[in-house]
Amino acid sequence: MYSLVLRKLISKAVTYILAILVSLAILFPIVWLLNISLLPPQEIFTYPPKFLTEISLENYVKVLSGGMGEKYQIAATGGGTPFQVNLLNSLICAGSGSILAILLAIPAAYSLSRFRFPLANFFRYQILSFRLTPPIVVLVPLYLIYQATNLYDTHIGLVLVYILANLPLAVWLLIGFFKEVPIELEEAALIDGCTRISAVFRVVLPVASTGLISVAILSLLFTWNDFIFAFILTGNNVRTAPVALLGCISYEQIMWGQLAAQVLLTLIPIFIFVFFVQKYIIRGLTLGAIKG
Amino acid sequence: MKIKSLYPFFLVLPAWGYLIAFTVFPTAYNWWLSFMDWYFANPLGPSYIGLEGFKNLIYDPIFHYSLITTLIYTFGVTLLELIIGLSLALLATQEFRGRRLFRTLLILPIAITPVAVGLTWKVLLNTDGIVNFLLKIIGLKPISWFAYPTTALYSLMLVDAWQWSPFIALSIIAAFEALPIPPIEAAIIDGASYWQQIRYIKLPLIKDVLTIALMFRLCDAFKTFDIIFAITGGGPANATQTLAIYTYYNAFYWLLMGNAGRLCTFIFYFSFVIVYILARRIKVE
Amino acid sequence: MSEPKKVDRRKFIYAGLGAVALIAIGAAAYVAMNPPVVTKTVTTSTTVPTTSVVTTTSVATTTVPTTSVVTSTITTPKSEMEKMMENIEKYCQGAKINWRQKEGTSIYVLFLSNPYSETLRAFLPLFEKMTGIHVAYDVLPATEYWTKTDILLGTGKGVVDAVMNHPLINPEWAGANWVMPLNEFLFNEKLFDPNWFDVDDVIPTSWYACSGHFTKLETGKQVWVQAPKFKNFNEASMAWDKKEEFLWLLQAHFEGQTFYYRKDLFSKYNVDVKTWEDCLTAAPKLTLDLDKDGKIDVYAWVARNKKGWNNAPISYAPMYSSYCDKGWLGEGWRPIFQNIVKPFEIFVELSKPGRWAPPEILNYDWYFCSQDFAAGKIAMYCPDAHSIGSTFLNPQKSKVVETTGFAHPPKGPLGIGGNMIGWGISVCSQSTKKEAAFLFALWAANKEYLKYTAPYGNLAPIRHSAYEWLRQTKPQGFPMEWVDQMEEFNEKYNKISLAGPPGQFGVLPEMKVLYDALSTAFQNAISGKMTCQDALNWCADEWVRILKQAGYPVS
Repeated sequence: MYSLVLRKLISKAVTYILAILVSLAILFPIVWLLNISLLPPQEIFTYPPKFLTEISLENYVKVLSGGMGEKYQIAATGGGTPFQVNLLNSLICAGSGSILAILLAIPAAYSLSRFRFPLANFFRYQILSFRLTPPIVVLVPLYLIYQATNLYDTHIGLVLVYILANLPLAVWLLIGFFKEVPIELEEAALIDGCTRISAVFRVVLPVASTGLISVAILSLLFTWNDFIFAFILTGNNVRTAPVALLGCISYEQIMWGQLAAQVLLTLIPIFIFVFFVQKYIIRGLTLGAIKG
Repeated sequence: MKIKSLYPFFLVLPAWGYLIAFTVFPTAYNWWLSFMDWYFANPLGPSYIGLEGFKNLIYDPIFHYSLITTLIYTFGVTLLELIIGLSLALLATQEFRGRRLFRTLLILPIAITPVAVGLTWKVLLNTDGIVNFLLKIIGLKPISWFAYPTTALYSLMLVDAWQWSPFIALSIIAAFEALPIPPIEAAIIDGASYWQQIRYIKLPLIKDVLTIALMFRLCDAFKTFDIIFAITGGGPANATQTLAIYTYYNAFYWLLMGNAGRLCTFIFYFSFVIVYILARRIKVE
Repeated sequence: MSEPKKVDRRKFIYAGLGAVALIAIGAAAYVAMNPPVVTKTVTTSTTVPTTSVVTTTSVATTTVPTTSVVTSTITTPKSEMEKMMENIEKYCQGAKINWRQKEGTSIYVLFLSNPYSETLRAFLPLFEKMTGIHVAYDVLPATEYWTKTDILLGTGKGVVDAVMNHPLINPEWAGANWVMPLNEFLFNEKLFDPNWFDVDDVIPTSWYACSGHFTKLETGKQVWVQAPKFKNFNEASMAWDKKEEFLWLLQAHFEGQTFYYRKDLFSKYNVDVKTWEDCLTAAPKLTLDLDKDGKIDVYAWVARNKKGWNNAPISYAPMYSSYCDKGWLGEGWRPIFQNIVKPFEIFVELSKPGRWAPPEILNYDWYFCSQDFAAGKIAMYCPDAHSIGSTFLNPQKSKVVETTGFAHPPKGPLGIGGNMIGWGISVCSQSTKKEAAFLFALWAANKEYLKYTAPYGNLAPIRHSAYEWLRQTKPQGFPMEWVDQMEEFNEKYNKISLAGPPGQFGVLPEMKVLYDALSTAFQNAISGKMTCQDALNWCADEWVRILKQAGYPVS
């Protein structure tokens, strides 16, 4: 009797301790970034390390007003765009990329989930294999195409590439979600006189709506932090947040304070967003694949 | 539903067509590059060398080394994240106060830009950095994380695991929560202990989800570029030079487009083969 | 799982709106607190635009100095800037060129983020005002600069008009026909006035470094040959006239080497370093555990050792040239550098991780080296570019302002070696606005401009007059010994010391691949994977493979 209670207590204690340790491990770099972004530059690399001994918002001000440069207070990159512009670019490109990718993926996912036809498996694996290829493989030829078609350094250009990056994931996840929708519902709609297309719009999509939102959010998450496509295929006009991080690497040293400020500013919007929609993310990750 | 018309094809066409359209030119271009020798700054342009280039590639010791490094990294990282992710998931499905907050925290590492993760951990894991400082306080010996070729690759895997284990963990958590209750209840009635439940009931039931999550992680680990480049740039004595980094160097540093094309072709078909082999093992519903 | 969908959707929308609102408010608040800083205005008025330099009223307190201070985070008072611009403009009006001949055009320039380009950007409004040419630009950090320029120049079809170029990269770009020789402009009276430019004021090493020509081997392979060391401008000009040599860029400053060391530690431990071997004997004495806690506080040596052509090999090349004057390649394009083991050994011994050098040294690039030295953790910094010195003299960034010593690099048996780099502007050959680009390159190297900007990190200038100005004005915190060191070094010792055609020093266009292999050899030796001789032999084999693949007639 006592041993049972004791064992329960110990396991509870162990659980709490482990949870705290893991939380510390996750929060540690982020708290360190916060620390750096609020300290003046000389204090960053002292040994033993200092923690929040002086607080100055200098880094955030510099980053948000575009005045990141030194000397004559002229910006270090791109003529001094404030970081909000970069965040906005990230939002536009990543957001449009994910939504448009879903629109494009719906017909394909529907077809692959409902019908069995020759080459269905081939399509499925081919689409997935696109996800496996490193971006390098398409980068240089894509750059040449973009230069030739004037898509270089435009929002549209980057969005097109993000659609490309999101499609495999979108198709795969949507196949799973569409399979969750019971065929009976669709067949009922068809019997009631709907065409297949309107059946899709009236039955399948609403029922799978949480799935759609999940995929949208996951796609957004993955392209928000994309670096290499944005770096090679854009220049001055469409600089997204990850690429703007490079601006902190000035000639003499890496400006860690501003780097940390930018990283946190990139992280916070997406984290708040994700916090409120985490249910959808988790849903997306399961694909609803569990059948009893 | 079995339909013998062309209708399903047309539905798949937009998505598949988009992918192909965007990649057909790059793929063809890479194919063409593979048979060329082209130093980008050569005013004479590319010159045809046929299969000679592939012969050079096959005999290139750095290529062998990069391939091995890539395989170690990819499979090592996936395995590591599976173990850590599973443990995190088991932890997060216990009953304790603040459980919801804990789960939210798990999303945090995934949301940070990989380049930033790389730079941050590079400084934290500096031999004179904070982590070693804390280790000293606890009484352990400081470890030289990235300083030596022998340890650099494994330290990189740890950093990658920090960022991506939550991905696996969240998949498992969600899958656990979606499990039907009856089988588990039956097991409890039959007297199964907690670990027996996990091992014999829950894990088999979530096998599909887990496999798909692992496959995504495998794909991404194969492609990893940002983290490795930011921290070691190919590493002390090529210790962390994966195929992606080696290709980047060839294409953008040394301007040897022919080599880059050959490497890209190799990576492309290699990954296709891997996906095919692995996908055959999962039961796609 | 059944979820009450309506509630979730509402929460989701509210959350999204809330987040967006928060960000917008925060951003608006900060922007409101700071007046706009940058304008790229092109005005045709006769007064200098006053919106280009603003002392910001930022949240952190930065005091505005009333005299120019040699730090890199100065806020120059508006009046100073205006006076400098006025003087430069007056000086330029004295030239026999019509500055406004290309009025109304617009050029696109690529800048590497460094003090040279930063000061250039600060003075851009003056250029635009004087010439009526609008300058659009893009600034990139070092590694990405190389990537982007290669891409843009190679496929851009005239997108870029002018680039920042330097003697090590020039053979690659010139060989690919991406930048063009400036000879035609130099002999064009409408575009170049030698008297006004004061060609004899320029240290002749600059003309030599930026000049060269191409020859073709029997196999058709093109090879860069560096110009001979011109004694003065006349010699250079004759060579250009005869089309024996070509000038590719108008250099603004040298990046030669200074040996940075801690004066206080040297005198305290009675150390004097004159040769490379002295470094070896001094290293154990200078590795210090000051507070006796078992942890080394000061390492004796640091050098850039991260993997890459622009790290260890660039530091090593001057060392090599002070031991051997026959170049890196010998008869039949076969490498001979692997026989000169001594300097390699010294470098490797000094750089062993954790002993006399920081444990992370194999990942140290430019930033980490200068960071450590500025934090006081290093006693000797392997001779590196002049420009890093300004970081060490900046009280806001460095703890060793008073104690940094500046000296010539240590000697080898053949004397002091050097590795010439140094930035300047080149005109792109596919540009459609070549004359405008040349005017920009010319203006960026003019006498008054280089003079005034010398204290702000345009080190080391190529002009004697700039050094005179430094000696005259004695900017605060700027040691005169350093001025003397830079001037003497660049006149006498600095040279190109990378691999060239057999028996010569020069720059092969395949430099990056070759020196990447050398950098890997260094890492192999330093980490103990191979012995020094083995690493050198391995590297020599790699070089043979690379050279053969590149089409050189390796015997």
